[in-house]
Order: sequence, then structure tokens, then C-alpha cells
Amino acid sequence: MADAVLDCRGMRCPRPIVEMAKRMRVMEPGQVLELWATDLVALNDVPAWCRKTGNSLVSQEQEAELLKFFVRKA
Amino acid sequence: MAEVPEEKRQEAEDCGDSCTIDLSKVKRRTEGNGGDGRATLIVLTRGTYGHHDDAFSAIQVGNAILAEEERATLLLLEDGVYFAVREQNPSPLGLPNNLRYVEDFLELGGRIVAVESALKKRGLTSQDLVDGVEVAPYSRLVRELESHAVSVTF
Repeated sequence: MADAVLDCRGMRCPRPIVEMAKRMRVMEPGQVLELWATDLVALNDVPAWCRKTGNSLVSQEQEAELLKFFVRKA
Repeated sequence: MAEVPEEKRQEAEDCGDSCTIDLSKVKRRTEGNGGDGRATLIVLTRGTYGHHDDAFSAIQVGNAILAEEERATLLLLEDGVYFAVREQNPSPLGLPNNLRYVEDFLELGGRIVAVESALKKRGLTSQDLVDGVEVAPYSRLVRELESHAVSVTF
């Protein structure tokens, strides 16, 4: 279960990453953010962002065009 | 002999000796031994909206860098200073407003520096700019170039 949901549907790269970075700044370590995106570039961007920033990609799902990423703050 | 444009004259006056680039600092920077860690300097010289999306591209690059928790500075030269104007409204052109991206850049910890002589030439002052934008003399360009590991110009 996520602690917060961030709806980035319709946003193009790099905006979902920018919005996620902003939101993660106000979250507590250990909390999980559920990111919704529709830009397929997010499939590369989100895992890469997690590797770069030290946050954990807990899981990801795809429901038709909707991509869901669960990211735990380090 | 061609007359030197007013803006160039002003920039030369702003600089004095301070516009001499210290090549040893640049060398250290390019070798990765100096400068501000992995900070990136993004130089924007083109006006916002309708200029081949240069300004839009510049801010997207900047925001992506900041989102990855690296540092970035956006330096606005010449028509680039229009990018930080507080009340910009491109809706008659059918283009999205870039202000939200400027605000994102500042929120993520980026620095935006507008060159004073470029503002003055266009009848702008610091009061016309988004809160948080620094105004600096042209000579600051040299210091910024020396203190960033990477620079890219749009």
C-alpha cells in the first residue's frame, strides 16, 4: 500500500521524473510513492532515476496504457 | 569601421579584467578536478516561445538534471532573459506557459542567473523577473563557466 499517489498521466518525459523528485522531497524515508504515468519512456526513466538517487523501485505494474510504479524513499 | 553595438560595449564595461578566463581552472574543470562537483551550466541566449523550442529544451534538460539530484544553473543571456519574466503569457500563440518549468527548476534547487546588461537593454529590471532569479553583471559568465563541470548552450 502506497503512502501517496502521484498522477502523471498525460505528462511527457522528463516531467514525471521531475514531479516525482519534487514529491519525494517531502516524503519520509521508508514511505512509498505510487506513480501513475502513461509515457512509455517512464519504463526506462523511473528505474534509472531510482538507481541514480538511491531510492528503491519496489514494483511496477501495467494496466493497458497506465503504468504504475511503487517507489520507496531511501 | 563598424560601430560596436551598445549591448557589447556595456558587456565590455561590465567585464573589465574580470572577463579574462583562467584557462587553468577550465582545464581542471574538464579533467574533473575542479568546479562544482558535477554541476551543469545551461546557457540560454534565445528568446522564449517560437525560437525552435530552445528555451523549452533548456529548462527540460535542467529540470531532468536537478531531478537526478545533481546541480544545475541556468544562465540567461541576450534574449534569454525573457525566459524569467514574471508575467509571461504565450496563450495567443497557442503554446504552453513555461513559467511552471521555471518554478520547478527553482523548487528543485536550481539557480537562475540573468545578465544585468541584457535586462537593461530590453527595458527590464529585477522587478520584472520571477522571485528567486539572480541578476548579475556580464562578468559573472566567466565565474560560472569556471565553476561548473559541464556547460551547454541553447
